[in-house]
Amino acid sequence: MKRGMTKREKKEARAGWLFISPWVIGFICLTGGPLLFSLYASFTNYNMTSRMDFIGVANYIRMFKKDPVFWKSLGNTLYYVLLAVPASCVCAIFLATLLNRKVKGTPVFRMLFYLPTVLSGVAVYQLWIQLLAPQSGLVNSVLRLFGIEGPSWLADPAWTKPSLVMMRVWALGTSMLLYLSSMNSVSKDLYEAADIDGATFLQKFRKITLPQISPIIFFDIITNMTGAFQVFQEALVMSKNGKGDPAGSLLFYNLHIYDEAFTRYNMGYASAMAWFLLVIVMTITLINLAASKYWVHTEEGET
Amino acid sequence: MRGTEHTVIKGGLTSRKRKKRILDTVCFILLAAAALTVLMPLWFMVSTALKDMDEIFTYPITWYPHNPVWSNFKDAWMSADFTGWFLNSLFVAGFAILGGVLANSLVAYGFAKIKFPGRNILFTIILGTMMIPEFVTMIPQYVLYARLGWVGTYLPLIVPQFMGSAYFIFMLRQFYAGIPNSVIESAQMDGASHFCIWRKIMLPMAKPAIMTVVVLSFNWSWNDFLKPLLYLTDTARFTLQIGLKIFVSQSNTQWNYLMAASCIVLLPIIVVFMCLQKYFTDGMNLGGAVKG
Amino acid sequence: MKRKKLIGLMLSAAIGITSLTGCGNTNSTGTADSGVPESSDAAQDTETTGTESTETEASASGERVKLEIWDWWGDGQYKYVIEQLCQNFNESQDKYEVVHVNYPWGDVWTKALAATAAGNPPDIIIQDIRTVTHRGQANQATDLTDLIAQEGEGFTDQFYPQLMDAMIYDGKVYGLPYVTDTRILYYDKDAFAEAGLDPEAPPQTWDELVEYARKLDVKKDDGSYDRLGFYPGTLEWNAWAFSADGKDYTDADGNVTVNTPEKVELFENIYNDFYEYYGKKELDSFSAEFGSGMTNPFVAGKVAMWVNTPTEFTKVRDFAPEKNYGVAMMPALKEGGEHYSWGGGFSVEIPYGAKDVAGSWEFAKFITSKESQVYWASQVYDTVANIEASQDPSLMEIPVFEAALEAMPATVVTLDRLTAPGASDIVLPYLDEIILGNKTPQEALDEAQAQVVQLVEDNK
Repeated sequence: MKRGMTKREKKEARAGWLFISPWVIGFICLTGGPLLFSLYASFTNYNMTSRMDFIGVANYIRMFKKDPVFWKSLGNTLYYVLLAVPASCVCAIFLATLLNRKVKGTPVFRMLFYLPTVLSGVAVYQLWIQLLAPQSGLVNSVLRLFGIEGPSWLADPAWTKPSLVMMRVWALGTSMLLYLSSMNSVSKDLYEAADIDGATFLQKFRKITLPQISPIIFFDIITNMTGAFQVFQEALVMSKNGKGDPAGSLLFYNLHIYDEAFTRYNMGYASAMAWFLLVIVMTITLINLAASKYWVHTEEGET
Repeated sequence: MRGTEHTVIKGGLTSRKRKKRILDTVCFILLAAAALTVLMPLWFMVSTALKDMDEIFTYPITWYPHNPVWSNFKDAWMSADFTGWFLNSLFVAGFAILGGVLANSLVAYGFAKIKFPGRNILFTIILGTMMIPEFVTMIPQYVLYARLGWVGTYLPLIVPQFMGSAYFIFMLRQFYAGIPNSVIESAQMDGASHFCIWRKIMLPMAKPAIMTVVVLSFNWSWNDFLKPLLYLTDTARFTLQIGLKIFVSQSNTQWNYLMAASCIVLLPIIVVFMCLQKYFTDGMNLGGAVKG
Repeated sequence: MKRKKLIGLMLSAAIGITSLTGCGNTNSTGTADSGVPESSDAAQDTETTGTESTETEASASGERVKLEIWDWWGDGQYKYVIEQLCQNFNESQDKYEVVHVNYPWGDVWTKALAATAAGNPPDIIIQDIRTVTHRGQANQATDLTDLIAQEGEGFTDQFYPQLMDAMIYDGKVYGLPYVTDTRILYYDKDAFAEAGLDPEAPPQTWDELVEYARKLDVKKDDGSYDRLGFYPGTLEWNAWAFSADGKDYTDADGNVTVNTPEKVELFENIYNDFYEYYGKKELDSFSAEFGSGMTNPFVAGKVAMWVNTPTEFTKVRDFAPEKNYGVAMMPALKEGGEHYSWGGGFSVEIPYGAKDVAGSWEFAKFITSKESQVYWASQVYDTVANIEASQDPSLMEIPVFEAALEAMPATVVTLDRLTAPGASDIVLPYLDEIILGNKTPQEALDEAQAQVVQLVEDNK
């Protein structure tokens, strides 16, 4: 495109665009339109069926100034993200490390840890409602064995979000799988060299494993965060009447969007909220992306 | 502690072996404990599947079925056209795997290993598409597919799979990033095209990552509920996830049937995982290739 | 070859997007009202886009017009009854053939919304009664006013007035009420006898309710409760608020009635007499144990009195057939005061853009007729919207029907009003704060009142 491109660079550019063309075509033909449409809708009073008048930034003003639950839902979501993302990343790396030692029964363990991600929908949420029952629930029964009186998880506003975090950590199979794949891709030579130098297990983990899997850690953090910001199905099913109770403690950002869009048909407002969330998540991602130069190990030296 | 130091001095090899054994044992205990916590909910699922409704309604909850009703599995499955829906799900998931592997590995290669203007902006847009909740674009997306005449067919479930997904593109790009550029450069020296490099070098080297894509895209397609709900109109074309919901009604849920059917629905994913799991431990063997 | 296909795909996508925005524009230039000319416009639109309608047209040219009713009645008795009703309708005339299509509960509305937005909606749909006005305003439901006028005077009088009111937006009718679900008090007669109470005299006031509850409590040795005399948590807190004085949070004129003395008093009762008395921990664990809906404390004998829907009796019948129980109206707040109850329900609507409104209307009339409604009530035990049907003598053998019938005139049906959308969602966390003991009822309801007043102000 630029004048300064050499013939080779042009050839490279053409190849690059050719390789990414499936996505570009998909974006132009299928997914991009609706996405841009929702951006436009965020500046209108769009209700999906009868109106779509341009109202400027009125939706955004309502969001910041007039919506009594907007900040609460954002706060709840941030709290959840801050708790869930580190917890699931650390646990997934830990499990993958254990699995990578290939002790007896590893294939079975691997299967077991992946299983929860396979489950989805109402059945899982129901299981957790039962498990978290304060008296007869299994979680508190186990805690009682250790002399701990567990909280009444889903009924106590202070414990509802940790309950959902627990569910998320329980289903960390996908992350675990990614770490496992990437750990296995670390060259054996590196470890052998370290062994000769007499490095301990922890040293090897810190000096070799972590840097080598850092691209995947980066990926896991970003996608986990994106996913956690969009938490909503759990809250819809697990709060007693789907409105984020008790005391609005499960009123997450996306639950609020969903309610606005589908019970009150304020899709314009819902779109505005969605795009504001995109701005937040994108900002965090770009900061991460910039910071990743300092800790993510790549062959190219760039991301 | 002094004891171990002593053995270290005495004979390095045996102590290292012993140390390894201790570490392995600790590792095993930790894994077993984690496995138990994972298993508890699953156990509860299976046990509910085996109860009759009377027992489900008893209080306090029973943690194992007192009179296991094995026929629940059969009854749940036969209560609707689950076999047909199963095949439909398999059909859709097959395309999801094919499309997922093909499109994403190509696109990710483009982003990871080829330099071209606009790459970073495009990649940021790809990340952005992950960050908008599905239900905000759902209505315009539906209208678009309706205008294309795709509603009532499998096309809205299948075609987008061949256009790449942000998650997989990002993921594979991260995996490719670990493959040294020198490998590609030396292949280019030999006159290989990017397509050739992708096909002959990247795909084989990134096998664990590709297999991860296979497992995940199968899993997600298999569990997808919203798209089949929106785009399928004929009961005979439904997928399993819509089918499962027949046990959930506004005031009553047939928990035993729901759990029994859910258990059966899990099986194919378990099989796929079992078949492919050896690849996750194979490793990409990147280092070897560099030094080679 | 490939490129041609690709261009075609891109073109059609572009057309899709432009027509999408175009569709929004044409509608917004007109008023929000669903004018008749607009409706014929949209009908043509659906025919030209022809995704599925071609199929129905082809079969229609033969003989009968095929119509689809969408609902979530996919299993057991409900499915059987609705399909029976469709069959009855199909046999009663030869112009239309109605097919029952069920999608999962709740999700059916999402699907219908998408289909309506794309101009290819179902012909009849069962919807949530609380939000009919929203769909009227958003032009998602067909305006039935003229069709109703053609039926002659008094057509709408066959339905309970508060249910009929829920159908009206801006003076126009957008649906017919189908079923409702009032709330009644269930009490365990054996427990009453055991506690020395008269099994035939359920509590009439809150004072009696509390008094009886104390006698019905059964404690275990360790101080926890083996049976609660009364458990208030089965009814959503908003519903309790409505049943205190029979008033919604806002009325049609925009008056806000969140912190009425009755609502404050009722929450003082609930908090002091139950949450503080039993202890929050006790009730928390109770609600969590039974909150999942998988186990049922009344069936299990863990609670002696509770408030629930009339249909709940089927669970007692199926899982505790020996249980000797009675039903009554919810207690009044004060001696000699009014009894109130709360209910929601479902409506029959014809989505906007339905291809054969006349046919859909015939079916809507058919399933809300006395005969169909008696059949519905007798088979699935819902409280039906048709007054005569709900009073049918054949139903009175089942005790809950009598209690439901008594409760119906006192039942307030709350709406999600366009003048205060989402008001109950805003109030709910404040009610939770009361129960958690963080705020007094007066404080919490005053704060909620201020929020709702602001909401009404913002929506003017």
